[in-house]
Amino acid sequence: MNGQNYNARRRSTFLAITKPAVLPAVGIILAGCGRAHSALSPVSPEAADIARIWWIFFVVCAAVYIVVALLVVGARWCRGNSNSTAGIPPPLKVEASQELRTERIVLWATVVTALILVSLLGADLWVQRGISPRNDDPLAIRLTGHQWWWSAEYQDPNPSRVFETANEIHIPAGRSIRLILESNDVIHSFWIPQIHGKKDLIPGHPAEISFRVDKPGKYDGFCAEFCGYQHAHMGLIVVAEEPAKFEQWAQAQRTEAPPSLTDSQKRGREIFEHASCSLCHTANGTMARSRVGPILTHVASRSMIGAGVLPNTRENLAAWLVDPQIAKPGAMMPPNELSKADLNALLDFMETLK
Amino acid sequence: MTTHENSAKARLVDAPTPEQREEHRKKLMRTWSRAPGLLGWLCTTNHKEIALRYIVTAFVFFLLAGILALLMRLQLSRPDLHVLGPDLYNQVFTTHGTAMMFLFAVPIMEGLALYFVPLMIGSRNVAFPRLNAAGYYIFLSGGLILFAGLILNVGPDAGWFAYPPLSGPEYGVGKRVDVWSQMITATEISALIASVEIVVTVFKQRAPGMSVDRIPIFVWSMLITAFMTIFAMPAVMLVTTMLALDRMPHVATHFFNPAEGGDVLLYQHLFWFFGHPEVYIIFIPGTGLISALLPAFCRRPVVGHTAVVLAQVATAFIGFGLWVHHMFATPIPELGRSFFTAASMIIAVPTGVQVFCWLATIWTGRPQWRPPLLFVMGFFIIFVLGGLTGVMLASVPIDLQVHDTFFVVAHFHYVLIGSAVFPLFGALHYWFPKWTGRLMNETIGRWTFWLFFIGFNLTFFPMHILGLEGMPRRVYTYAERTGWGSLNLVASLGALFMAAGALAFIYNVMRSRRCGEKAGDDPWFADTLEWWTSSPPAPYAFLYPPVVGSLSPLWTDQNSQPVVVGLDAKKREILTTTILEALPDHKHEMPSDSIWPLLLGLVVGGTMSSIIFHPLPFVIGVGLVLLVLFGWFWRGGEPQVLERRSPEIEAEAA
Amino acid sequence: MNQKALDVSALPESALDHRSTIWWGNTWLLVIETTMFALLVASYLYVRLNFPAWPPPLTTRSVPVANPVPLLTLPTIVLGVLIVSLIPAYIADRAALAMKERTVRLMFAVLVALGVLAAVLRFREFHSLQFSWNDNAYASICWTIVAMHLLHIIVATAENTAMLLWALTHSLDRKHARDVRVSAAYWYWVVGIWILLYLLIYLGPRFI
Ligand code: HEA
Ligand code: HEA
Ligand code: HEC
Ligand code: CUA
Ligand SMILES: [Cu+2]
Repeated sequence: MNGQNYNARRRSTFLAITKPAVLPAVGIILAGCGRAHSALSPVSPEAADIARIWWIFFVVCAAVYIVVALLVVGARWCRGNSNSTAGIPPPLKVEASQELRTERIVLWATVVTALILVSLLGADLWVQRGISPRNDDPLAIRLTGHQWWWSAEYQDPNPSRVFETANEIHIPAGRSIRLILESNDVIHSFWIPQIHGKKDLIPGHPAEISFRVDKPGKYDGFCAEFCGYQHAHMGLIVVAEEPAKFEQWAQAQRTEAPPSLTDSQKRGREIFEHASCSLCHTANGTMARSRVGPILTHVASRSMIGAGVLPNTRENLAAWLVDPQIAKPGAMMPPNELSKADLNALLDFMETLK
Repeated sequence: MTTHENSAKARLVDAPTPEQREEHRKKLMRTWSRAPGLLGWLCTTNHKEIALRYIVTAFVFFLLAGILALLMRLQLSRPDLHVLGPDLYNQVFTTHGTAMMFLFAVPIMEGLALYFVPLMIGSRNVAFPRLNAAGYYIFLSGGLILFAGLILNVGPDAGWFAYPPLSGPEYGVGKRVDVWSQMITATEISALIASVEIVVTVFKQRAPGMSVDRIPIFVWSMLITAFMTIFAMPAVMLVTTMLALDRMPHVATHFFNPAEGGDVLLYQHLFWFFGHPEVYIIFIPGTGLISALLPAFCRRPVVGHTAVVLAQVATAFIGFGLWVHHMFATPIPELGRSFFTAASMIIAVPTGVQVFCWLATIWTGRPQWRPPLLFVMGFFIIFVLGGLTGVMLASVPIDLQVHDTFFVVAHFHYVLIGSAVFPLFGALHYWFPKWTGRLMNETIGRWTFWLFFIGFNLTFFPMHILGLEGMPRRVYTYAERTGWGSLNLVASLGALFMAAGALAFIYNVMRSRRCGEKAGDDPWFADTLEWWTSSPPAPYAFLYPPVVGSLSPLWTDQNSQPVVVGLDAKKREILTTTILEALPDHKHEMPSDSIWPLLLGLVVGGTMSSIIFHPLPFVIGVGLVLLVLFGWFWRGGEPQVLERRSPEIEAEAA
Repeated sequence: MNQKALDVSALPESALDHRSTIWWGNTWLLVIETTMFALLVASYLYVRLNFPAWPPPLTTRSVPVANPVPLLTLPTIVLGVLIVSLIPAYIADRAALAMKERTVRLMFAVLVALGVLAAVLRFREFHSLQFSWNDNAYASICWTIVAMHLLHIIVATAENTAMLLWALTHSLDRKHARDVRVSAAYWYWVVGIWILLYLLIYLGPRFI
């Protein structure tokens, strides 16, 4: 993702002036920015506001740091230095008047510190006020955390239009989104750095977060609260797309799995329904109706398998089905003993789940 | 019978003659030294021996936890590595964090306090010597529980704050979290014991004349830390007990079970009500060390003595009002969050005051660039950066982005290592001659500093960027496509530099102990009373306890001050003084060496480790503890050998 | 060379009150314990927020109880026993100050007896909570507070027993007179904190 700051209009004049000045100093930081998961490459007004307050804090703190660091390093050359390992001089006689003057400097530095902090606090509250929940007809999605994957249920006043998916959510660009966050087991945390800060999914404490993504694209997210063995592999992908394209996708997700046409697909469906798979998974249009694992009705339309561990290719899917514990040790899906032919049939069937 | 009447009973007499002094010394030696042999070693109540054990033990835990850090850095050095699997990685980072906080940073500062507070205030022991010894054994048992757990593959794996439900009965299966909670209880008991020791010692045992305005800053910092411990530690003991009760098979309470009205956020509130003060419990002793080193190496008292002390007090107070800044991402009311943001920023003011006072001390002093001062300078460069990232974290929006990422990991290593480890290394170089009578090698000392300093920044600076780049903490690996590989590699290489620094330090200690340059009693011509004792100090510390006339007693001609005579050298008698003015109040006999602290440690340690498996040992444990305390109180059953002394001492005294 | 010396040999060898180190040690111990109970009370109030009704309906009985407030009779008796026990504690305290050996012995015997009585009754008192500790979070927090305090009664009574045994077998010296006073102070705290906790546990559910 090309992450140079989203939406230049939103940037305050303050930053427009200061940022070029600090660019060299922070080149190292910027060098790393621009990937699909940098908090400093915002694609939503929310993340842009946060990036803005970040830069204000960064500039002020960097300035304070430089002053202190100069005072520390400069002490090497202040009067009365001695580098000898030999004798240690007797203690200095401290003069009261000189001491008073020193203390006055300390006092002033303290006053300046307090002023800086009050201004930072003000700036913080000011920007924070701008980040308020969205009420403009948001699209509501119920996002539930599981060890170690996500399920998402798209809300709709019309129950027949409600649908569910997992690990990869598509959203219409330009429209407000409201996520209703819940956890099915332990605490997880929702975080898409380019879109918004974190919100914890805490059992017994339903929470919400809302945002709007203006720029179509694919954004990586992570579970940010330690949740056990595979906390490292609990990714969430957000795909923002043009509203029309989104509608198309949503419509496709509402459909059932297509009928199996070839023999191999039919055999695959049989395995899927009668082997262990249906004990845990749902695929609408098949007999599999269990809620333990992610919904698979349209698993072939997702770009990754296992909440971000493997790209969704035939080889990877085969590897995953045979033993998920290799790519994701500890995942709540057991290995499956499948003959080569059965595996092929199962894969053929799963590839129809577009 | 008021105090002032008591102090009037003390009168000035002529100083003892050299013959009297020698006579006195022999008697004191007989009275205050301990029996030779293993039993004597185990039963000693000499605060100096016990404090050194704290320091050495805690340092060993630092090395062990450091080795775990190296393992983590190895695992994270490249994407998709499988050196440690997720199971082991989780145990390793949890044990690393837990050990560094509870077995290294806090206890090593306690050790320094227990060693130097009595010496700096001119007393011969801490207020409750036997309790002090018991505290050490309980601490040790906590540490052993943790590392035994790790070795037996039941090392805790839910993070150093072990949030339920992950750590609860349903998801935290096995005994791992129980190991964690028992280890916490043990180390907190010992921390509370040490705190009560320090508070009472400072209140009642200061040398005559050491009124409140003459207490060294180091002693203040340890006193303030002790107060914070007293009010903060009960929270963590309570919350780990509740967690243990929730988890216990036959108990199964519901404190943190949402299905039965329990609340996992209650856990977070209670934990951080302790957890935030905890970080200042580590930081404030660090400021005490800085304030002890600066006068010696800048050849002048710290600028703004009162301001520094008041700033420490303010930090302690405000420190209890910040805990929610660890919970900004949880669903809590907006207004509440703003309050904690404001409080978190305000705390930068007292810290700033201290930093400015110290800088002014250096600029108006005559800095001697010996290794201890180098470590102080390292403190400034590192700690201030960490403090400033702390100010950034205090902003709710910024925190929501970088919370639980490597940015936070960078923040807390900067503040923790900046304010605890660097001052600590400086202090170890500074006080080494006090313990051994020999100086540490300066060249190796400089190498230690530079390796550690450069290694530190290489390790932890890149983590800021990683965090902003989206790398969450506590991940055992990451994918190639994230692009986090190169910065992680830099961090891992930096950790090797730190390890080299640690090795240089260990080598220096080993070498200098035996063949370091002889130091004499006061090699730095420093200002505080610990340098008035011999190096290493005799068991009785002061031949005649001092009378104090100023803030820097050794610089204002302590030798013209009177000394205290009239304490019975045939028993372990000390002088207690009044709280504010330190007027002589009464004499007080200290207990002799004793077997009971060791037994108490064994009973408590045994109970703690068996509760992991079943609630029943608790009942038995309470019974045994009461029995031991009965023996303790009765002062019976002490082994006869504790009365014995080494032949030379016996011969001299006869 | 030191010019002068401050001779403290004429100072008293112990103090019976707040000037002694042990008094301060005990006081800070009590501060720690008080903090712990304060946090338990805070937890109680926090858990309260999760329940629409406090206490929650009792459904484990054959006939469910809608508002099962804790029963008052036995808890109030225990409270009475504890409050009465302040009298011997106080008399022993004053007697120790005056070095009256016989009074100390007598009063500590009474104190121990009352402590044992309170502890024994306390085991029955749990039934007054109506719930079992593992019914719900309300029950867990109430049980923990009551049990934690029971632990203090037991430990303090054990301490008082040790004092009593000592007093019966030795003549009272100043050091042990001081210990008697410290034990009494500990007992005041055990009773005092219970008055507050009693109000919270037993009367609280009737009002909050
Ligand atoms: C020694 C330990 C120590 C110290 C001293 C501090 C000091 C501070 N800390 Fe830190 N902190 C930790 C240890 C410490 N911290 C740990 C261990 C964690 C993580 C726990 C975990 O999750 O595992 C943590 C986490 C943490 C968080 C939560 C992050 C998160 O999880 O999302 C926050 C948020 O506000 C925070 C803030 C602060 C602030 C404002 C200070 C302030 O006290 C800093 C004040 C100091 C200065 C500002 C520098 C000196 C001042 C000047 C030179 C004056 C001029 C300054 C200005 C004008 C600004 N800390
Ligand atoms: C005072 C506290 C302290 C200290 C000093 C350190 C020191 C170090 N820490 Fe630690 N750290 C924490 C407190 C501390 N840490 C805490 C609280 C956590 C959070 C845990 C959690 O999330 O629950 C954490 C987490 C943490 C993480 C994040 C893990 C994760 O989230 O996935 C990392 C990763 O790099 C790390 C690295 C290091 C390193 C490289 C050091 C280095 O500085 C270590 C340097 C020391 C050595 C290198 C030792 C050298 C030893 C030898 C050379 C052996 C000699 C042997 C013999 C003589 C027998 N630490
Ligand atoms: C015991 C329960 C269980 C069984 C049986 C099971 N799964 Fe799974 N499955 C899961 C869980 C849980 C996950 C999520 C794992 C994770 O990402 O951590 C999952 C994930 C998957 C995924 C990846 C989905 C995604 O969006 O990332 C696929 C594909 C899948 N399973 C297919 C199958 C097939 C085919 C079978 C039968 C051969 C099967 N599963 C049997 C529980 C099960
Ligand atoms: Cu889910 Cu981390
Ligand atoms: Cu904090």
